[in-house]
Amino acid sequence: MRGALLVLAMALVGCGTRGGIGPRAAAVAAPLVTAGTPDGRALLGDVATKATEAGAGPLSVVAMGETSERERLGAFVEIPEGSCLLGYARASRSVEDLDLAAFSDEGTPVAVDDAPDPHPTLLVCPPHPTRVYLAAVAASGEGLVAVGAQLVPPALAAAVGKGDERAWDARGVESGRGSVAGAR
Amino acid sequence: VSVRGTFTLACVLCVSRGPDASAAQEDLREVAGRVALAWRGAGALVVQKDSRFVTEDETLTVDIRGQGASMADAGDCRRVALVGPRGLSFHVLAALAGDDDVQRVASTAGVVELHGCGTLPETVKLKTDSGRGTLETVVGTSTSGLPAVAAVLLERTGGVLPPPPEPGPLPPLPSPQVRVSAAESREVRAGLVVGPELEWTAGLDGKGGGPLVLTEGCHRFELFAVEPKREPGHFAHLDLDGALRREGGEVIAEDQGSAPDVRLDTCVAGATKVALSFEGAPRGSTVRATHATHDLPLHMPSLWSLDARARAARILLARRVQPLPDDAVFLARGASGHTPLSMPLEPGACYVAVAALERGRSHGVQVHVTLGGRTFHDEQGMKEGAGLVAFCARESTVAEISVDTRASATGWGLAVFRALGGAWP
Repeated sequence: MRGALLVLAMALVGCGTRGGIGPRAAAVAAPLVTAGTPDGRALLGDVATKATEAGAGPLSVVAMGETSERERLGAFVEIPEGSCLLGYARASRSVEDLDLAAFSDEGTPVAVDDAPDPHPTLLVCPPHPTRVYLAAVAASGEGLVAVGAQLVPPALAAAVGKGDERAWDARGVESGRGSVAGAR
Repeated sequence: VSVRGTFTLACVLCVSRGPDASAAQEDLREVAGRVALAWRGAGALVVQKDSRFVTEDETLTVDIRGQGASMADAGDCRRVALVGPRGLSFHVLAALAGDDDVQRVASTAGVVELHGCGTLPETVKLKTDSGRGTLETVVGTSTSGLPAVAAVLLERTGGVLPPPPEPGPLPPLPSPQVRVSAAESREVRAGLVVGPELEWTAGLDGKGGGPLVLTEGCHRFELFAVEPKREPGHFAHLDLDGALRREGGEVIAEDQGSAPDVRLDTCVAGATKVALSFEGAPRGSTVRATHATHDLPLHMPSLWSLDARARAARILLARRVQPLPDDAVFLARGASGHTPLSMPLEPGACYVAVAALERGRSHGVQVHVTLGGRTFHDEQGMKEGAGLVAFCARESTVAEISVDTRASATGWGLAVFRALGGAWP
């Protein structure tokens, strides 16, 4: 009890001296700043885990950053011959509609998910180009967007696709028939 | 037997693999690699930059420094290949040191080549004109001559087409009076009621206009100005633009095209004060306008806001839908996003479904109707915020309808009208 009173008294003394006359030397240290960017895995982790459980390979964060409406965010992704590519983009809640597309070098859309929802997902299976440009566009809203990709053996592609739909069901989000779309 | 066996094997391959899309797609790294290989073979120091993906109407800065740029000799020559897909059209703007003139180089078959010796720029501006795709950059530095890209990528030479002939100046425009008469005839043929002509005088900056009060209904204004005087050696092109704005400044119709005349179409569901403005007229000239009107379609839902009724009227007239014979047989309202609906149908009947924004703004309103295996859709919507689909039931008894709006805080109304004249095919 005595200790608590002592702490309270010290706190009150601190408050009283704070408004002292004239500038004083800083009583606290400068805030610690750590360089870096937000970790996209936090947005993608749930999907990546579900896909991995269904047989997909490890996650690669393709791109991540703050985007405004109609802004594009993406990168080139290599797809080994004989593999499928699971690509998906997720965003903070401030993004209401997010689209995702995979383009060939020639600019042809190999797969597109432009459904009016914020969880675009696509699966590209052979035959496919050796690399695609995987890009997300915030069709409505702005915020943090992350694009992820995982390789999937073609034999497990169907299972991975269904696993993804189950993930949406579990979250209570409408399981759109197009949630795994554009596999060509 | 041998022929049959071969045929069977071929079909099995078709089913299991499908068309080989990878073979049809050009890998631009390989194309750029051929250039790099040829230049290395000629003794150049070659650097292949990171791939970039460009879309239409995009401007980017491209680094064209060669390998060991800091040690570059003034006597070195540099050759740069910018390689995109064959369908990508772009141009490069480069300024030489000490030269105010900016060189503009347009792509041929998706390729631009730059070369020079001595002090050269480190970056160039690249602007895409049409198409999209990957852009590869190869830079070769050498004291000796390097083969031109066209000599390496023979398939990208673009042929030897002669330059297109200069079409010459545009023919003179008819006088405004003649164009006004033609417009009024056109409006009468479209079922509009032509009102008195309007007239304004353009200011010294070619701008002008005035306030108007639009009565309930649909309105079309067409504006005509005199053609600017032609001077020897020059030909002036008349490009009149115009807009209709509400009192608050909201644009309800505009025409920013490159045609000489202006056409503004809008519908209002009640008396509305607007301001008509134009620009691009010759200074101090008289601008004449036709004003034609059309009544709002009957049987629009009374529950809808005035704006929603006006938007629906606009799309009904724009799509030349016959007058609605009766009230809607199905009404629904919804908000942003995807909304599925279901409505009963009378087999053999035909219907018109109209969706219009009641509040908010959206890039468009999309309407899809599915009848068994048949789908009818309007994915275009209208800038004004309405979508329309016409369909016949045939033997179907239920229609699955969905309405999509792609913006937040929007509200829409859907009305489905039974159309007369439905017939079995």
